[in-house]
Amino acid sequence: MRVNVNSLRMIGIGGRAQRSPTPLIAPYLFLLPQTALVLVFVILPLVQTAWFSLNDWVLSLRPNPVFNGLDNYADLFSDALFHQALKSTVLYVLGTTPFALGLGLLVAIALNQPLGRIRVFFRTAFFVPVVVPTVVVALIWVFIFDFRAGLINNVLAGLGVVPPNWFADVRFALVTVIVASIWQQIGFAMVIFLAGLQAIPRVYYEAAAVDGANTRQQFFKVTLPLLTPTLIFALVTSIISGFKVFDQVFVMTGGGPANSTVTLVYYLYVQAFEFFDVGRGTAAAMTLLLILALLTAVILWAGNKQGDTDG
Amino acid sequence: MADKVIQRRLLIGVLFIASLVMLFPLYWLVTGALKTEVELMRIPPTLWPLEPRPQNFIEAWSVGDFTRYTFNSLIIAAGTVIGVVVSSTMAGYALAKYRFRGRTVFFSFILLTLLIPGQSTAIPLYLRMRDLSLLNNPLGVILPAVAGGFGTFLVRQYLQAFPSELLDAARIDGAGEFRIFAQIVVPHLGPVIATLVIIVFMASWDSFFWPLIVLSSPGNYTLPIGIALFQDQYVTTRSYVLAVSALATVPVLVVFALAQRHFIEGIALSGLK
Repeated sequence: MRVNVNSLRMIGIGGRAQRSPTPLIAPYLFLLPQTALVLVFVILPLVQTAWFSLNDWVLSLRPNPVFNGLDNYADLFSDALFHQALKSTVLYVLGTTPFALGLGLLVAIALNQPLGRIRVFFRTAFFVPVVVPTVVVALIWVFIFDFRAGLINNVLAGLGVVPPNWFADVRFALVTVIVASIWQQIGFAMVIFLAGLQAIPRVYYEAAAVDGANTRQQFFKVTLPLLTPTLIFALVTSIISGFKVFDQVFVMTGGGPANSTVTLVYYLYVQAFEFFDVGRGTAAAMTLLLILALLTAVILWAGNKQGDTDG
Repeated sequence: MADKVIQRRLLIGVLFIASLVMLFPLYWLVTGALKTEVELMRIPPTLWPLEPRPQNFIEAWSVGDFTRYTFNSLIIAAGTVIGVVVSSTMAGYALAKYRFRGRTVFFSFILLTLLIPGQSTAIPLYLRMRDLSLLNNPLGVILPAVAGGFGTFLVRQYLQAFPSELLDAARIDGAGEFRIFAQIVVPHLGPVIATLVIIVFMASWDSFFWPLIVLSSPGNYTLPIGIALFQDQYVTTRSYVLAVSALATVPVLVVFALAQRHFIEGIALSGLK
């Protein structure tokens, strides 16, 4: 009967309102499937990643891991290919994130104007590439960047520019991956920014207009500060997904030419699943995790600081 | 006023051209798939196929084992969607509507999974799947995909506003906790389940890295893996590669067309809350 008494209190009968009665095991049972899956397939592998990175374990050489301290990290940081992977990944993020977010923001601002029904068509056109499977996106751009018959090189030739051999040139191969990714990600940024813009109450603009602020001032004094949390979210998501880039690289360049497009995850993939070097692979995975944790912390910290000075 | 009208027309004009630029790669994919191999080598390329070959689609589909790959992709997507919906509605409900010891800890753990890139745990996960004999098995792809925190987070946010009085009234009437969940809470979850189904389906249809690692025999390949490896084998028949790429995109476009609102709202929701 205890439950009933508490329930009566809860709806205001027999004393002041209290917290919901707490059935002892129900919430734990509801959480059980998700928690079990997360423990077995996320948390445990995460702990093991950290542990294996401190062990010498090449699957084809020995059945069990042997502790070797930080040797894997030492090997990793003296490996020229790993340096190349770090460099390519950073270049990829620097090439992709600013353009995807910048163009997405521009489109969102444009679509936030009163445009009538055609707005839905525009939004769809910019968003469709987001839902196209990444492998297909990659293949489309392999076709467009083709050296001989590709669209881009024929346009360049028409303009009198000597077209590069995109996939055979260490200076240009990564560019193809970046362009494909920007095309795919603009719509995602647009949707997030559009939601952020629409969450800004109209009265703020009306108040600013009454105070004599012009469109530009309204943008910098109302829109931008209120959009900061959205910008930070988009930045963090984009950078994290950028550091994880793999699919496009696998399909478009296979890490080549001359390893110039090997990214962090591609490096990890090759070490672990082609060379079966668990130690080296997990050390690379830990490095990726640390980089992401650090970047996220820095961006969130900078965002908070920005918010403080604005407030 | 006239200025405003001109500005608006200008903006629409610019957006229209930009939309065409965005859509052009898809147009190029479809028209490319319709061209002959000879025409695909033409310089400069033709804007519209001179002799469109719709049979490219049929031939390409039967050259590879794409019906099989599609079936595998569908099985994996369905399993993932069902798993995510069941486990995350239950977990999200518990986190939103119960007060119990360790609630914050549970919630933090679920949030943590949102921040951990799957690629970083792939190696031990591979060894675990090997020990569970789930390598080269659709379940080996489904289980880790269900173990994400995204769905739980979405359901929890959605249920925060759900009136607890309704649940307490049912308790007074003597309904058990599971019955309350199944008969009172679940019927109200329609919109968030729709969002989940669509986002999880799309993500599963697109997933590449993990299936590439787990699925080793062609009979078990999903569509993206099948297409990527088909490209390696059939470098000389580009029209086939383009044709299967276009066909693999059709299901997501259909889902998107039917449920654009849910999809876009889902992204905005998960992004902002």
